Amino acid sequence: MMLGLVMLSACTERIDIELEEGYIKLAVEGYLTPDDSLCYVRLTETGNYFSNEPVSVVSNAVIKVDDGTDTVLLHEDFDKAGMYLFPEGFNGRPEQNYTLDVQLPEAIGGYTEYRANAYMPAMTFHIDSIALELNTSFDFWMLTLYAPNPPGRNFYMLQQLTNDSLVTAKISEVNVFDDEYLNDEYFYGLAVMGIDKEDIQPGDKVTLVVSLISEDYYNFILEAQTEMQPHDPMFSGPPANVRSNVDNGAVGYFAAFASTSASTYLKAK
Amino acid sequence: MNTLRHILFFLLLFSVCLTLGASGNVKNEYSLSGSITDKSNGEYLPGATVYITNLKKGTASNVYGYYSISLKPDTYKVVYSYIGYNDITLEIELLSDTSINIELMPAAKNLDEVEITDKAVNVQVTSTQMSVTKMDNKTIKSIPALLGEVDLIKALQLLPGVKFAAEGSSGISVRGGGPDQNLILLDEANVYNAGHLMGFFSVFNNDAVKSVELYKGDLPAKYGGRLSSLVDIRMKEGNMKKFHGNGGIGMISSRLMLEGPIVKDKASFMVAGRRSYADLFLRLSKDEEIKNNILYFYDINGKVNYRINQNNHLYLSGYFGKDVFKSDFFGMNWGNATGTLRWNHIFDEKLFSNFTVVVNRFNYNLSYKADSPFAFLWQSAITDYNAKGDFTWFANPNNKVTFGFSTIYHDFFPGTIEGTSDDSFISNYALASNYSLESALYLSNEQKIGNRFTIKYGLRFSIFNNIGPATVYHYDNDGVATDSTVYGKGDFYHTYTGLEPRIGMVFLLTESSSLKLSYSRNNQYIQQAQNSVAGSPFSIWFPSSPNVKPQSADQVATGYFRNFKKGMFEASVEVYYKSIKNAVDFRDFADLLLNKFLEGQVLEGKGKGYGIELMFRKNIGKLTGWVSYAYSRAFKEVAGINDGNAYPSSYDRPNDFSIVANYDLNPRISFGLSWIYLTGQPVTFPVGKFEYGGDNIPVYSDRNSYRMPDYHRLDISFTWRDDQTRKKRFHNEFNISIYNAYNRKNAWMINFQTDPVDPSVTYAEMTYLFGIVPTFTWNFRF
Repeated sequence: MMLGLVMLSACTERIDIELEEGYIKLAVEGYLTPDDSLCYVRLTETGNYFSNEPVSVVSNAVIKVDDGTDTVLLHEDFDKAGMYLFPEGFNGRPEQNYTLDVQLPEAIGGYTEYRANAYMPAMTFHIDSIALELNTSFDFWMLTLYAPNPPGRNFYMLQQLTNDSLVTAKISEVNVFDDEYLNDEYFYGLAVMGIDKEDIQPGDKVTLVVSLISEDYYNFILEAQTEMQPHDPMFSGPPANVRSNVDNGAVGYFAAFASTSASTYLKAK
Repeated sequence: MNTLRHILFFLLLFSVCLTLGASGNVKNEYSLSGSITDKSNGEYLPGATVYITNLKKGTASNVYGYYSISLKPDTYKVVYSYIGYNDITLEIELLSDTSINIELMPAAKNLDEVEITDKAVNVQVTSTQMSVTKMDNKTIKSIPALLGEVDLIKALQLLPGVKFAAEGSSGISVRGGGPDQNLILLDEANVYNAGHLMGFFSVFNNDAVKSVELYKGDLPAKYGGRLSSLVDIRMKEGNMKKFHGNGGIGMISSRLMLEGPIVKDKASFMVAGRRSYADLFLRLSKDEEIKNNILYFYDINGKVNYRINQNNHLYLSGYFGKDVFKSDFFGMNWGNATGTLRWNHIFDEKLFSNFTVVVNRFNYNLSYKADSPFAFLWQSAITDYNAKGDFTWFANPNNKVTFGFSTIYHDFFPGTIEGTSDDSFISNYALASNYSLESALYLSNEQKIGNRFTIKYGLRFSIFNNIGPATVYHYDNDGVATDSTVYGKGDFYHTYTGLEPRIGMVFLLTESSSLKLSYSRNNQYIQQAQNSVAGSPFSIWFPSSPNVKPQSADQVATGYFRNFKKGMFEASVEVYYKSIKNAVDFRDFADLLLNKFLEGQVLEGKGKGYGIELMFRKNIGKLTGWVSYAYSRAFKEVAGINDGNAYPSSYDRPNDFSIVANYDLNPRISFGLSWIYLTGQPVTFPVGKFEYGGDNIPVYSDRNSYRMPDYHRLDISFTWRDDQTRKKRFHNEFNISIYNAYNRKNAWMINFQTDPVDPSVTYAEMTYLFGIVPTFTWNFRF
């Protein structure tokens, strides 16, 4: 807000900057959940920042996931190169550690082998109900949550669907929060998301998906969101590379989490 | 034990030097002492010179205008002088200790014709002090200012080796150091946040300021606690002769200063106030939300002083300033408050003392006031209680000894947040206050050896104690707290000590040129938890502790100093190198606010800086000002940042060129100009990107491996005054200033955006704050 005041007198314009090119690393985007339809690992390469070409995908990798007892081999999707799927029927389980091993046919960033570890937090959260409340001050719908607050410090990722279509499809659009500063016991009408008044109509079904995520993944999302925002000299720290749980200099994240959801309908006035 | 041994060795050496320096001079000497004041208003003149023509030697008045020199009985021709004032020459028959108070008259502004005696002592050339610049309020006022707000911090930013932290910011970087490495004192009180309106204007009202001195690293032994600089600001004392006032109405604020005698030549007062009125313009808006916003700052300076008698003088001064912003939903305010009580006491002609008690406080509040379960109030503050005693012993003609003590009790209140609605979702959360004691003893001597060589050697012994109650967390290598230790109330649970030698020497090549060399070590025990370049008021200070070692800087500097045309022109070249130990930085994405594990976010490393600074200054005449150039570099090396490799500091701006000029066409019309050129600020840019969760996430270069475009800006001003010689009660002055006269678009920040139409396209976008900004200000005095 204060920055907004400073910016009252400011102007912006495009500027030509010459950036270094040819900086290549392996990028991993992996998800493991109890719902096998949401489980996959995608391998790509980093691209030049100003490149307008799609990033290069990494095919023919050997990817294994180990839960400490069993190891499964992922297979590359025929239709989507670089997308590796878990075997049918394999689901992630809360309170379980997972190890991802990637072996590449050719070295990227100097390495052919990469490893990541992920822990799926216990699913101790359930939603009693959600509601839509009009915020008259800001003129938008607040999606409010009614649910017991599980004990201890928890990290949440929130996504929203409208009429079963994911609205918060991008990492920049999901909400994450940490309940350290929230009173214990019960979230009674906790406003967790804001929805533009124009984006939903009477009769629309609105679904909230709540995932309990690890503190490290929570920080990964916050860092990614921070780095997608403008940096200003007053409040922003120096730009920094977003953390990764993949070794050997790879970027991205292999995340394991479980989710729960609830829906409501926007009633006609 | 080593520390004690070093101190004992220093004291022994000190005694030997003092004895040797005194030999042959101690018998049959008398003191010539007194104060030097401005005849027009009774204010003391620090740095005025006293020159004994027969002996071709002299001394200078101290910060309280007091001078003392010991001489054999004889008759002397003594010249009292101060730049911009008419000299006074006296023939004095010194047959006993003699006290002579001098009142110097400001020179008539007949400009180039001001006569300067060739006997005047050139302080810049003869002083052992290096890397110091003094500016009075008239010089500061003559520099064109942003929106007409005359600003001493912005004036300092035009000196070589001093740069703004970011455009418009009141934060300064001195020789590559961070803004929190500067000790900013207003009448000895520490000003923790020097900025109004998020730092765009400094908190110092120039009408209330007498002078400012900037010491770049080579601090006098009586000062310490910061690595980079001391900014020593002195408020006006108040006119001892007659009631007087001045003020002005500008585009941002209006101000009024009143001063005058309470008892003529005995006691006086000064009070100055300033208030901005941006909120008055907001009320003109048609937008109801903007209309209801409140946004303003104000500050009040006040001072009274009382000359009890020849040997005792009391000063009481204070500052109170606040920034306030309120909307329907948000509220915030922040400000400094200081109070200083000083007692000058002259024990005898040779021993001058000053005792000071100071209280200063900086606090901020943030609140969210909507009718919401998220409504909160967030508060934070730091308060210091400081007592100090400073002594100057004019031992003999060749030795001037300074010694004293200082102790500061720091009360850190890092922050609380509390929910303020009945159905609040916000848990009340308070970071524990912490306390520390920062003390120092110092001893220093300035010794003349022959007619050409003077050496200053001193030692400052600093002690820093952490005091309970406190919970100290222990951290692993990743900064994660693994354990803690609890200390009770009043426990001195951790102590650091430091020996800080200060050495300076000057060798006079001629009467108007000299070579100087200095070495100084400064320890810094408290720092700001801030990782942005310009900073904001909403950051906290935190102390050294078992987890955070004190920062320490060693600086060596050498220089050539030359005056021309009897002091009309000054020229200097300085070269310095400094090395920093335990330089504080923070982990990537550090969480610096309301974090009880803040110390886990701290990384320690080392830093270094070097540079050459050239300055050519014209002090007197129709045309005054300076041209300066500095080439300097500053680097940091911190494990955990940039893979442990050295990287340029955010304040590393190698080329720094400034021109400041004021031309008095006649006593009624003046023109001002300042031009500044700086190498672009080091920045970290993305060199790649990767896809995750449907977004492009940047991959960054090494820390600070790119630079913003170079910065340059021209400001000009025109001032018209009514006839100042006419004996009327009220005088007007009109000033037109143009900031950024050739409309340079200086990048304030550069960000990388995704094209909203075609998300596969990314581009760089710069934000610049100011185009051409013309301003009109009406000033008056009576």
